Amino acid sequence: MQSKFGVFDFICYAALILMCVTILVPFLHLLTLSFSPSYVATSTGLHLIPTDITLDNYKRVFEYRFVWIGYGNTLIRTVLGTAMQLFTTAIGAYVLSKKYYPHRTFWTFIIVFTMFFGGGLIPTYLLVKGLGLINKYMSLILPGLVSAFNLVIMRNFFAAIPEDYEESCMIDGAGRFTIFFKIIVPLSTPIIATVGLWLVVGHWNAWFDVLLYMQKPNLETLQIVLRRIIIQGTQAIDMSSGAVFSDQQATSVEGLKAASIYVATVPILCSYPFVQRYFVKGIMIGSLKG
Amino acid sequence: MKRVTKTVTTTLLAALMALTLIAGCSTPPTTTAPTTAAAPGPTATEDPIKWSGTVTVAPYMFSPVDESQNVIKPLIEAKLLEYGYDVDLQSVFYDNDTSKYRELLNVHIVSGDAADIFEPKGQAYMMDYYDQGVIASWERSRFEELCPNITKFVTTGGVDGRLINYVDMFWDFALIDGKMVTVPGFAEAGTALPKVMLLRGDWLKNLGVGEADLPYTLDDFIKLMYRFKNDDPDNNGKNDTYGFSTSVIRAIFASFWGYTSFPDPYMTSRIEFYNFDGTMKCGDTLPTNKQALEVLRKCYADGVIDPEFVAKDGENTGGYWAISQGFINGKFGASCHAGLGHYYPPGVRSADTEGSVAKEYFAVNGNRDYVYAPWPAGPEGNHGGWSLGPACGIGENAVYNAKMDTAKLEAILSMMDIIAGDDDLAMLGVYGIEGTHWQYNDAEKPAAIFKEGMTNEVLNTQGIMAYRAFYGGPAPLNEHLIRVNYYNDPLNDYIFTIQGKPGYKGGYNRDLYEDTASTSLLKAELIGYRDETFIKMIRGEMSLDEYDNYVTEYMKRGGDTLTQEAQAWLDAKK
Repeated sequence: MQSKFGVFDFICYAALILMCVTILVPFLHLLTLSFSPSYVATSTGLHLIPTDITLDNYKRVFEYRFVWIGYGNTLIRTVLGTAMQLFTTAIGAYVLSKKYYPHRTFWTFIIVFTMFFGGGLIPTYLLVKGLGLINKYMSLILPGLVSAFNLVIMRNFFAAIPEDYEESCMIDGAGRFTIFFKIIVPLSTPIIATVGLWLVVGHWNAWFDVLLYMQKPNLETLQIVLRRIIIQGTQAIDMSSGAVFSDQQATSVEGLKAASIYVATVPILCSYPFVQRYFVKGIMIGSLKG
Repeated sequence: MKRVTKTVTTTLLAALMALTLIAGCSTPPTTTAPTTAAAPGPTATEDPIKWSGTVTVAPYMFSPVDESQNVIKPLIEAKLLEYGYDVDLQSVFYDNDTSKYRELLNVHIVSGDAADIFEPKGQAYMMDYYDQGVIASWERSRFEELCPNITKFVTTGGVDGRLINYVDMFWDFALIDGKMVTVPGFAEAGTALPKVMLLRGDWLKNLGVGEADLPYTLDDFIKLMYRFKNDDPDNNGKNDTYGFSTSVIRAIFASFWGYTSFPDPYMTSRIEFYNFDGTMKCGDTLPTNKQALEVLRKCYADGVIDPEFVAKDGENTGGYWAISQGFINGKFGASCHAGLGHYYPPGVRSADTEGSVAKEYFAVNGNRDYVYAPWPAGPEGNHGGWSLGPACGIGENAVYNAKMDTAKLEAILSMMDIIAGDDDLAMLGVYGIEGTHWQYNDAEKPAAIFKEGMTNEVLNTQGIMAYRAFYGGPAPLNEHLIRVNYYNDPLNDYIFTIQGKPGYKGGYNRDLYEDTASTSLLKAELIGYRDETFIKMIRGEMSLDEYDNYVTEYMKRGGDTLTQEAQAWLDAKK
């Protein structure tokens, strides 16, 4: 029997359409600006369809040598960082998920306690510097290697997996590592994909730690480079100094900003469809029989 | 057995945790006293190399140096070698956002790896660094020995002695507790980019207002603003225009007396003090402000002021800071947001170049139909725009890391003086290579003009202006450089011509040109309180009768302290 389209459905659809419009309109506006010359950005109003198309903004972004260097560094950081973080978080969460782990509550509390405060900018910098990590990729990965939040999330997921799986494997002679990598991890693809995606997005978007720890231009990541492009041209030249400045400013900054946003965001946007299926895929597929 | 293993494991883990905690304890770093230059001693040596070493420089820049494109470093180093200084110059880039630059600088200072030379980005910060022993200091007499070129240039009043009346002020800028911490704060281009009152020419035409009818008094100016609001100046049949917005509000205050930095965010929000016959008074609490607020309140109630005047960045809604989108797009008809240097038309400097904002105006409107107008004069005849004068930001000059030894510091000062005395070196460091990055124009008084495509980012990438702090300040104190950069620039003739008309120039030089001890502590709160109160009064949310209460509260919150410090500062100058 077909269900009727009622008032509630109408409200739901209307709210969702409104939400989509709220998200899509700025998206289209920026896309238009990225393909438009500067006067379009200076003109008031929303610009949803480009009328005067130019590739100058993208050209300017990609002509900047550091953009490519930034892309490379960002990829290295993201891949390495995500892999290391996922591994360490997963094994830590797995251990803490076992009820028979000694003083489990105490260790969980110690880890969660670290979520409530931080050392601050300068102590953290001094620590990283003291470890000799300045100008090294590990300075971007090691300080945040195990996030307490992610660890707790994963722990709760692992705790929900019935222990019968492990017991049946142990009976067949499997060791702990075999059980973890061959049984637990395949059953945990939703949580690994979710946490992995958070980590990927976090690494991709991070910039302040790069500003702090990477002091050579050829080690900068994409976000730093793009941020610099965006700030250039918006700077209020300090008129209180006698500094010599060129008055040839990049006034087409809005178009440049928009192009920079797309250059940084499109790779992440493209990766979402590949990961999405893991969120909805159920667990316990082909699980216990009998 | 299992119990023993469990006990051993947990004991080991607990011990590891305890060790980690203990490892975090360490002795605090010792601070070093400011370096003071040694007394004069013998300088002649047989070795042609007077000093050799690496100097790290962290100036404020738009972009880091790309060492693969750095054409300036080898040339500067080779030239300095001829003078006996074998230096390896390293440019360090912190950030091109001023607030982040300062934040990162502080991190590096605390961790002990700050550059040898950096910029404090504010006089108050310079004083803080001095108090904490972060920056070096030296005797003025030693500076005069090491830097004869700069000393002569400053004490004779700069180019053609034009700034002879400010010499004492410039030396004062460089001193803290009687010791020099930086180069004298000379900025001949202090009036660069002077502001101008702009009106939309197309609106004036539509309303039949000719050049002879441009308003000179505040009353006439306000009448014109009302016409901009009510008489459909853009002929589109809609009542969608305003008279003015953020920037002109300052001009209204100036019509009565004094200047506050309200509400223009690009005026590096300051608290101004003015000398009234030997008594310092705070610009934020002058009685004349109330008269300005009365005018503004009425204008706002009648819809003459753009309601978005309260926006964080004023008339600029994005992009290059000098663009007033509302003015360019015909939202309001008057603006003094940008300077004359932003609006000059083609033909002033060259056939192809024009002011950066003029370009935007033309792109949107298809014409450069804006008109320069006189500043509106109040009942006492006061008028003007923001006028900085040569009392410029000392915080832009370089300071020197206190960790340096005396020999290195003196070598740096000597090299700085060499650059100031060598025209070629000065031009190289600031402009780059002639013919590649810049050229002289064909005028009788040649000016140096950057070539097409030479934006600040491009120049920095190739090493130009990438070592500016090494020169002691934003630019070397070299007569030739300043002449071809500023005095010979045809833009100045254009500016002087416009400002030479009656009523087109004016303004207030601030009488307190240094930050006092409490400025950095109190400024933010006082400015916030002032802005909030003035906005409420303009919008009618607070009665103007509350002005005296505002003054009382302002003084209580710290205005009194700053006023006393300003008075003490003035008294010390007598």
